[in-house]
Amino acid sequence: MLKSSVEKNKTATIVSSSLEKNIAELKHIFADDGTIGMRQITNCHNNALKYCLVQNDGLVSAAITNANIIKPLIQSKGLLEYGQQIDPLIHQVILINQVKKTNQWQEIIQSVTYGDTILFIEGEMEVLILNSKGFNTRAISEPSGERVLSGPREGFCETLMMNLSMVRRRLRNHELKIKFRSMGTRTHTQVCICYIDTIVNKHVLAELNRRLDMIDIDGVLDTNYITELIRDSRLSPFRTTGYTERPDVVAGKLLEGRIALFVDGSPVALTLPYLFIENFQSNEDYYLSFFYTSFGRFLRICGFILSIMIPALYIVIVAFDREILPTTLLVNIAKERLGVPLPAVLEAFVMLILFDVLKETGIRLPSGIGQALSIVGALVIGQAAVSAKLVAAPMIIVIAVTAVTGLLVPRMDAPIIYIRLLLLALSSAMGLLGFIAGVTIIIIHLLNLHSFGIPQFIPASSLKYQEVKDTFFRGPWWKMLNRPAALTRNKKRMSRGDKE
Amino acid sequence: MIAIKRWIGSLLIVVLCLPLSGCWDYRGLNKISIVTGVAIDRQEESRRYHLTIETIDFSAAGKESAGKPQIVETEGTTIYDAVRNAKKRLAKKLYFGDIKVIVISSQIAREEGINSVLDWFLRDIELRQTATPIISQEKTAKEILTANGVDDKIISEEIEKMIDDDKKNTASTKKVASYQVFDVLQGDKETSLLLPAIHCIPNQEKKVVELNGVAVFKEDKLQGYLSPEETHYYLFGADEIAGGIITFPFAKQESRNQDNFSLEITNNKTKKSYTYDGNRIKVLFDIKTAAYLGEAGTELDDLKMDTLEKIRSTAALTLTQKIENVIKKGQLELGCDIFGVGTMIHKSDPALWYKLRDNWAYYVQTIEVEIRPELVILNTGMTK
Repeated sequence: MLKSSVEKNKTATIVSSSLEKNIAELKHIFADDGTIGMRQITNCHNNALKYCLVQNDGLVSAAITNANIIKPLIQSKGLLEYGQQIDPLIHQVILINQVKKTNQWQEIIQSVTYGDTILFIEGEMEVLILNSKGFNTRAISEPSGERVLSGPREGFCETLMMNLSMVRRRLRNHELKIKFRSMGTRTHTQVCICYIDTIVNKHVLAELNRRLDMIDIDGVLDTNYITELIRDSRLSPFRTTGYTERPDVVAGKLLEGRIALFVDGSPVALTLPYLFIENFQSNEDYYLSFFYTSFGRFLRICGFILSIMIPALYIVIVAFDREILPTTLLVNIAKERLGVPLPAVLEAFVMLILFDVLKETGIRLPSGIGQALSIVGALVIGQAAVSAKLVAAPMIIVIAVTAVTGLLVPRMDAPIIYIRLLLLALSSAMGLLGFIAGVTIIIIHLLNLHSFGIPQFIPASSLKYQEVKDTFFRGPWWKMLNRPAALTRNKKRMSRGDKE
Repeated sequence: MIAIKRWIGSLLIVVLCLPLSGCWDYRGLNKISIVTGVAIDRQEESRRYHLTIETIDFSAAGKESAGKPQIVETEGTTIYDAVRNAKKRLAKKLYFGDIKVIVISSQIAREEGINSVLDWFLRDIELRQTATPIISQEKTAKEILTANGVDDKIISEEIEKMIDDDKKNTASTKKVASYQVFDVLQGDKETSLLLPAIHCIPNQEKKVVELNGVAVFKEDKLQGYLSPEETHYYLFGADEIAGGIITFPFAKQESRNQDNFSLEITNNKTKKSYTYDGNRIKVLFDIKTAAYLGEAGTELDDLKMDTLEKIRSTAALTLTQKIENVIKKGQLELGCDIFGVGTMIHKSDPALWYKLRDNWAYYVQTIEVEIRPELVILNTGMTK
């Protein structure tokens, strides 16, 4: 509706000096839109000074409008003259922190729908955009997806400026650059790119801007819209860009030479370039003792490997290469498999998919039903299926270990599900050979992954001490002298007056 | 284009790896019957192989026990034929991947040699090459597998564990895996093959199995046996001992009665070397043994240094004599090079070996030996 009316009036992109005409145009543009309010006022000392305020109800603060706009406009005396009042209004009358002149209808529409007040002035070719935003936002809280035991608990919310303020507070430095741009032909979403000028890799920045320029989409409701449009290897299940809901994480990434991208309306910030090891890093790694967190990091890497391999290896061992097992274990497994109708492979597929079903229901379930689900999941599927000889007990153990280890790395959700099934399928067709072929394919794929021109596997393929200190384990802070070399030319992290 | 080529390239790498391997097949665990041991006899009348196959019957097993043994008997003109014939009596397929022991009747070993019997076990892909061939001293090998186990219901597993642990405890037999048999038999045949021997004895009115030294082979034919005690001292000479006891009679004073003493071996190192003077081979055994005094007869109080020294020298003398006896028996009675002198010469001086090889049977009988035991008693065990 809006778009078509603008298109119909393509000639009227510029405001007129007549208040009457402008109001008519406005009514035309915002036809059938009850939220747009217009308020016409006249100066009480000079009846020639006529104004019209246009606002979107619910987005503006009434207190600001009344005290800082309407009151001075009505009461000002002697300062304003018909036909020459734009500058005196800005400088001497209106008590608003951000004021902008424009004569473009397009800009007016975007501002009004973002909570600004538009001041139309009789006899002027330009209007004023006054910052009067006063909409409600969610309170700052800890993001549920990235909880920490100790460390900062602030999380982003849906308001871009608030998010940026949280980052800015952590990096009080003129080198932090924050650049805005607008995305989405219909949503006109504010998108913001942050980086630290002296550390960032300029090639990556240029590449990011190039890719952003190429985006053609009507709406951007969350960061993931942008992510999928600008990422490398779009068909790979592995992540090639990072995400976080925490300002401390963003600050940390910026300090390592990465770029952060915020989208207004989304609490998720995008970080790039993204190295493979970041899948296993957690901000808490840096807030707790490095002894403890190094072990955690190691567990997460093992968890990933186990979670993708265990069902496939179980099939390999049980159905192909039984001689790997000690006889006692073989007999025990065989004993349990006795009388189970499904072959082990089908059993594995069914149970894996069943687990994913349980997981998927659990995520979006109202919290009250969760308990019922866990009873059904644990009791019916675990206990009853085994005693009814529908599923062998070792398979339940295998699935349980797979599931638990998979939860160690929530960032690897998508690749884990697909690779697990791929390896399982290959293993059940060709045994250990298929398994090894599958692992080879995955490794080749991983080594081919890039993120904005930077190979994702870099620290693993070039073994230098300064490069591995934050990979398989988390080195202590006094040992992490350099930034990851792949990300930046400005390597020294710890040097006074970080200037190149 | 380059990307496509890379993809094809990596795909080829993966695909080309596949034919490099052996076979694969999907077989569910509930479709197999796990074989733990096989006993091989020759049927008297038909002259066909008679196989007694022990499998694990886990269907009958409760929660506690791992499974019960189950015996399948089968016959065939070759071993493979016999194994396939067993399927006629079974719903499940026999699975040999976890086989522990191959019991061969002494009759086959003596008359036909073990080569033809073991061939299938080495050749078939499914079999594990670590299975232990054993020579049965009973009339048939079947008697071994149908005997009762003392602590394990599955007799093959019990036999395998007994042989595995023997090296450290009694040191009275020698573990040889089937691939090692192959190594010896396919080699230059300079060294005799030794395989563990086993027989049945009554234990609490039940027939149980007992390890009984080793069987000595010339090429692949059974020549005779070494008793457990002889094997024990053979292992000293062959540097394969890791434990066990040396017993010997000893009197603290001339007038006293002799008591039997035991030394527990903790550590032993034997080095063999040879000299050849153009006519005879002389082999030198340097034996370095460390032992604890394990049992010292009746008198406990009187272990002075000089007494201890006497005990030491008596033990060393016993060791020397016993080892010499084993060597003599090997040389003269069995005509076998059980200590592997031939291999030693072959390795260090191939030219000499090719000269001696043709008359090796003669040289074996004329080898002179010298034994230099160096025994240390580490403690008397009486500091408690």
